[in-house]
Amino acid sequence: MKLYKICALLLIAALFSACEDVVTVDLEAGDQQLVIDAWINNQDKPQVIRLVRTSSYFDSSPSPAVTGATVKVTDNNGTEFVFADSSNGDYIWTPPVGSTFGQVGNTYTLSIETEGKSYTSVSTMNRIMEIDSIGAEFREEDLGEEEGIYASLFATDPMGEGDAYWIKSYKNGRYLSDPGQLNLAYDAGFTAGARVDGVVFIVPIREGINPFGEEDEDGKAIAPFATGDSIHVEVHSLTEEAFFFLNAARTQMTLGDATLFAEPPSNVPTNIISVNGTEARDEPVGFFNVSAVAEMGRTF
Amino acid sequence: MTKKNFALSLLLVLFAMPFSLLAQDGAKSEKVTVSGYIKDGQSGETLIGATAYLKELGVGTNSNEYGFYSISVPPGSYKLEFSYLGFNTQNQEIDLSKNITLTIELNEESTVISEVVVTAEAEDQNVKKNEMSVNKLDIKTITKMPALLGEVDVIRSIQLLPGVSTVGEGATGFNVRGGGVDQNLVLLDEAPVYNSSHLFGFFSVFNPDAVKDVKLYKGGIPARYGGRLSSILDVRMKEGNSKKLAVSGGVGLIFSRLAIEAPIIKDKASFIIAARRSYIDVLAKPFLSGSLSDSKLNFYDLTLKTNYRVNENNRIFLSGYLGRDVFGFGEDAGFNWGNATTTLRWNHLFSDKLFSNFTAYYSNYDYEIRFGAEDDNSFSWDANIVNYSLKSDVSWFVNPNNLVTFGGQGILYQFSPGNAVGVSEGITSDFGLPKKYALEAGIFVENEHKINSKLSLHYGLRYSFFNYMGEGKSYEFDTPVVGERKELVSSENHDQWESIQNYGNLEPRFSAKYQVNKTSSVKLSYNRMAQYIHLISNSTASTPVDVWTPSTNNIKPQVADQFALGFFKNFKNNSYVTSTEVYYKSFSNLVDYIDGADLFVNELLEAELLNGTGRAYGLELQVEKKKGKFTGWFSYTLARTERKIEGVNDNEWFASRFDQTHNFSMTGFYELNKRWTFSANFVLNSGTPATFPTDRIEQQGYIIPNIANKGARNNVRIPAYHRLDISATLGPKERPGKRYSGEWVFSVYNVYNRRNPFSIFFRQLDENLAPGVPIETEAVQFSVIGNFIPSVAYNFKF
Repeated sequence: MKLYKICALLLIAALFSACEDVVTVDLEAGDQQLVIDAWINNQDKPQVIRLVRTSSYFDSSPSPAVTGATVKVTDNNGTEFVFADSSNGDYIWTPPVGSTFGQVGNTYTLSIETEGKSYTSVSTMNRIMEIDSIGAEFREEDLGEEEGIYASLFATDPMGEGDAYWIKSYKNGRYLSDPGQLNLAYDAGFTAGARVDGVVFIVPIREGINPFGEEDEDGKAIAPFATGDSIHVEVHSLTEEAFFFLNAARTQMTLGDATLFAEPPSNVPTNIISVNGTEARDEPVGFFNVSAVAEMGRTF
Repeated sequence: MTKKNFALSLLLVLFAMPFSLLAQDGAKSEKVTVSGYIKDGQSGETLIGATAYLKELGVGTNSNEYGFYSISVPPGSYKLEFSYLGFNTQNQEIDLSKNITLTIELNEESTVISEVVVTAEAEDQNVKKNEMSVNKLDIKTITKMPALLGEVDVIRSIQLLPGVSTVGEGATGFNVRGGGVDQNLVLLDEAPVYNSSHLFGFFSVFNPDAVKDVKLYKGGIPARYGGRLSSILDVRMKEGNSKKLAVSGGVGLIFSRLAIEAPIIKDKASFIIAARRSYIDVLAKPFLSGSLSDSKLNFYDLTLKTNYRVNENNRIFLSGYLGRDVFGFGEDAGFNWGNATTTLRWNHLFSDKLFSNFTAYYSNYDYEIRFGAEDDNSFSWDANIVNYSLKSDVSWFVNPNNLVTFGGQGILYQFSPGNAVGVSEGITSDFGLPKKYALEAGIFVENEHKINSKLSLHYGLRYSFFNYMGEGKSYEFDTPVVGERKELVSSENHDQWESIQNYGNLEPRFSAKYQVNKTSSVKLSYNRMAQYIHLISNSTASTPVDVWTPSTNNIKPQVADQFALGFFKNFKNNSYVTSTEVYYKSFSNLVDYIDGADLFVNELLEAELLNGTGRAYGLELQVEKKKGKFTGWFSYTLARTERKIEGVNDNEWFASRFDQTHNFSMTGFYELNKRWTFSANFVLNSGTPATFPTDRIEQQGYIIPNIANKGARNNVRIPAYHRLDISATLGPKERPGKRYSGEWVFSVYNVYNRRNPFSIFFRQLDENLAPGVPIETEAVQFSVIGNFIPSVAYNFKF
């Protein structure tokens, strides 16, 4: 789809001088809904659950933090993990030395209490494959691609449909946070319906770990990697619901890339349930997912 | 009563009707018939909608789509008058004592050759004819209108008519009275065209050199048409000059055209072949380097038609269309799409009162996307919709007051929603979807009935039937939360031809005209339409890669009811023609989509769909000046189009994506002298609705837009759209005896350089930020056309 859209845009731009203008738009902010940002994993580092409230779309100051809440995660064996309030919206659980959070196959329940209201959600830590390798290929200038090193992630989706992944990529330690780079896989392909199961990630996902559209100080386009650069890749397992959430979030954040063929803007789903909230501001947004992570890095 | 019995009894009723007329007819005194064809004397093309009028009796008729007319009256001597706007009227004294055949050739009025003809019908058709909510655009008119890049275009022209709109520049197709783009049945010589656009929506697939007649039905749709809810765009191709070789063509900035027509056997068989090709890639080649120089970027179409008059009673037509848009980037990637249609028709006269047409057609729309040049790592995907149809229409010219038409149609559909093959490190995954099959059938009967000189009726009934059948797999879903993805409960395999789901609809059609006086009439109409196939698309503009899907056990057929009332009045001896119409239309079983729907290569597509209702109502005004040096029209539409979809917008009504409160357009032509003609268009439309986010959700360092009030759909409107286009045509010098004539067309599109918004979108300002840095967001207005676009084209014919 992406290729198709790019071609379409190139063409329209070239022929009709299509253009983009930044405009001022008055948006009336809605109720400050509770935002639960709960993506935890089995990496050996402190696990953070963040609670804030929604703020006006154009307000770039940090969203208002929710402090004084009780945040805990309980697994299906009854083990409780209490996340401590850092008074800045972050709630942190630090794994004891030599251990990590959770176990593949276990189910986790998130419970949050704040301002007399309770919220809950459930997630499962799904299986993860081992990464086989990160390939590097030197490419000549071609098709708008700059000359340089291009990386590929080789990892094989295990047999059985329903695995989902979020592939995070870091260049020289910096996370590639451009929404357009959000690299998701359902089994080895793009979507659930495509049923690409039990094979190596398909090419666009494999190459989705490269930073795209990078420029040097003079604004000149550069290749993803040069000799000496490093890459670090993490593959996080997702629940099916989390995959749909991130897929929807990516669509909503990148509607501008599709212009003519953009889907209608809509709200992303949530898997968090308000237990006793009745007002609009009690309606939670955000997501809870527990991942197993496979990672690998290399220097070119 | 079972469904089958019901259908059978309906058939009986339908077919009994004409026979009751026959009985009535037979009871009166003996009648004789004069019948034949009305043709253009220069080219031999049959004329559609020309008038044959018996002065003594004050009765008349119009030639049908094949130029045939027939009038049955008591024996006697009459003066028969044949007329057609832009042609010299011909009077013929006839002595009618027995049935006679009279084929007439009309010659173009020499004085009006260079004059702009706004419509090709008789001057007061607007008031006198029974039909309402119908627009006819003569190809001569279309060619005089200012066009984008100087390229005359059928679909962009009809967008200047009242009740017709588009979601924006470059959007495929058009919207009629609140209907979606897939609710228009676009027919090219009776075969449906599933994507009527080249280059997304900038140009339509119809080559103006090969088009003879364009008719758009927005309401009061006759029973002989069915299968779509909102409109019928009936495009008829030329038959080809049966008198002499004629060549026409043009060279423009973006493509060139050439059409050749000639007799094969004079006055018996002729053909036309017309081709167009764009040369964007050829022009761009010098500027592209490396592998980009292999880029393909073009579109072409080829239209072919031939006809053979076997004898007085039999005529055969064969027409074909092939068009394709091709995009390729070196060896690595490409995509292309196109339509192909073939129509074989046989006109047969059972008697001088019974004209019949039998049609067989094939239509195919397909697209293909491919990337990856290596054999070990590639991805390709194609999809298509193919249909085969047999159709018959029989027109029975009972008497001057009754014209009965009846017939039927069967369509066999084959849907290939996606054949996808991915090769990853040499391992091939074939994740294509199985084909789907369906059969659509319809029978109809209708009568154009003049009750008296004031009142005439056109009534009919259509029964449509749809069978979704095997070979295939059907699914059953559970809906835990309305508005969200449904859950699969079970699935079942079906054998070839096994019926999975049936639907049937009775579609009554009715229109009436009351002639208030010589220059004014009131008309009203009602029609029910059913649509069994649906275009699956949730993007702003429909794309060439959208797929069609049949009605299934989970997708019900869409149904629409429309009422329209109109007042028609002409002034100053038909110099000014006006129409005023109001309409109300309700839709049921409209297809909509869950948020974040996965519509591509998804076996469980039906789980992503929602069901809803719609309503549209409005007022349409049109004033046309048809005579003089200055001609043209303005049209204004005041309208509202709304949708109510379960699980969307908190189950409340919301304005649809193509709702436009005001839609105003003006088209004017000014003939300065014999050589220079000027024309201009001006359009002004209210902004279309859009959904804007109100809040931000911070999630893992990303800013996800959030829409307050549970995601209220279409909560704002983008700014209004307005544009002025002008053109000047320099015709040939008058050189008697010379056949060659050429004309220059200079035009400017979007004269005052307005950047009309197509959409406004929202994005994060900076990319790949360090953590902790505040994330700025902005609103961006996207305009498809950001400049004025001048162009020049040269057209010729000889």
